[in-house]
Amino acid sequence: MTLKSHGKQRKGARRIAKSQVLKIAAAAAALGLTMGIKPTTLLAGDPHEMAVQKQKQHEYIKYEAHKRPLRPRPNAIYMKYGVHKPPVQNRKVNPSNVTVNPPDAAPR
Amino acid sequence: MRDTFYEAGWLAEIGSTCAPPIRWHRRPRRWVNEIRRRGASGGVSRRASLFSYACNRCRLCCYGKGIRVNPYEVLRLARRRGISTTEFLKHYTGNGGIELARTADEACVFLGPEACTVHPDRPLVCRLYPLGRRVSQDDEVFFELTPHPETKGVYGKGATVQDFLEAQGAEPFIDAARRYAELRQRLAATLPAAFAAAPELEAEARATAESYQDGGDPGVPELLDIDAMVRQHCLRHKVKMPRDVKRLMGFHIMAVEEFVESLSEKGRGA
Repeated sequence: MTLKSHGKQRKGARRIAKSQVLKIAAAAAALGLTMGIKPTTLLAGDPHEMAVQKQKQHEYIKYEAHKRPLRPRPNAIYMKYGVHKPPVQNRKVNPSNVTVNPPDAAPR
Repeated sequence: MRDTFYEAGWLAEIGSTCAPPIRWHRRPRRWVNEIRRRGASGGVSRRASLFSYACNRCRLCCYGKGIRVNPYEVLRLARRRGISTTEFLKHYTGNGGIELARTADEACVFLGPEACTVHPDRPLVCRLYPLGRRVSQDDEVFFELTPHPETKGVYGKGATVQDFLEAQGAEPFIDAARRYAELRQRLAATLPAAFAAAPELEAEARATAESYQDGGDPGVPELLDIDAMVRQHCLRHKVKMPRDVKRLMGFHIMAVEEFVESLSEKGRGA
């Protein structure tokens, strides 16, 4: 392959216009971008990713939070089933509500 | 299979028929199997997945979006406007002819006071909205795009993604996207040989390619102007220029392949 910029050609060799290669690169890059493929990926010749049809959504990223799947709070589950209680070390105890050995609970 | 679908929660997003996700962090195996059977997780769907969308013409999705169009979509829009693709690319696109122009208030250039003015020939991304489509060599998935917070569109599970695609007339556009993806691969495949023979070209080609991503205006690639390419091709081969858009696309792909083939032949001759 000989280029114009190389000066004299070998006898019988045919020239490849530089612009021809650039036209192909431009077309490939532009086509790739319409499919969501970055030009860097394109020139590396990644054969796996074929096409992505995707809209730009840079505007609304902050609204994605509400789509996150909700995980039920463990306490809600424990209260629903009653028998299962959170582990002792996780229980919150308010000392002012705790009465040690109240008179009613005294054994007969 | 049960006919009821749960209307709220994470499993409902993929149209699950399983029990509601009271304890999804300890979900039974059958829930996982159900998700795998439907081929969906985290909002990703296949053609058979349950999905429906009713647009109520709030037009909020027509603002602030970069709508990228391939040559087939340009051709359809140009014919809708009654002009050639050369004129269309000059007047209605930006960023090197790959993105539809926008008005000063960031609206799509084709958005009218009531609705889209080119609706019958709208591009694929507009047809798919609010879905996005991702394609790999042996897989195709659809995913939900984040809607505008004040959208009036109504989501549902009353039909499938396939029904939605048929209602939107998306198939010809999906087929065109596939054919142009194959063409892009063939174009890209010719570049390494050219770079091997002339390494000094690589940096320049890379700069040309990346200028399309930088948001500048590098100019419309000549090879992607369907009318100009097909006209030259028909003159060279002394055939009549077709009028049908599908045949025009076929001729365009042939013309580009011929151009690439001439480069390969020159490479072999050297």
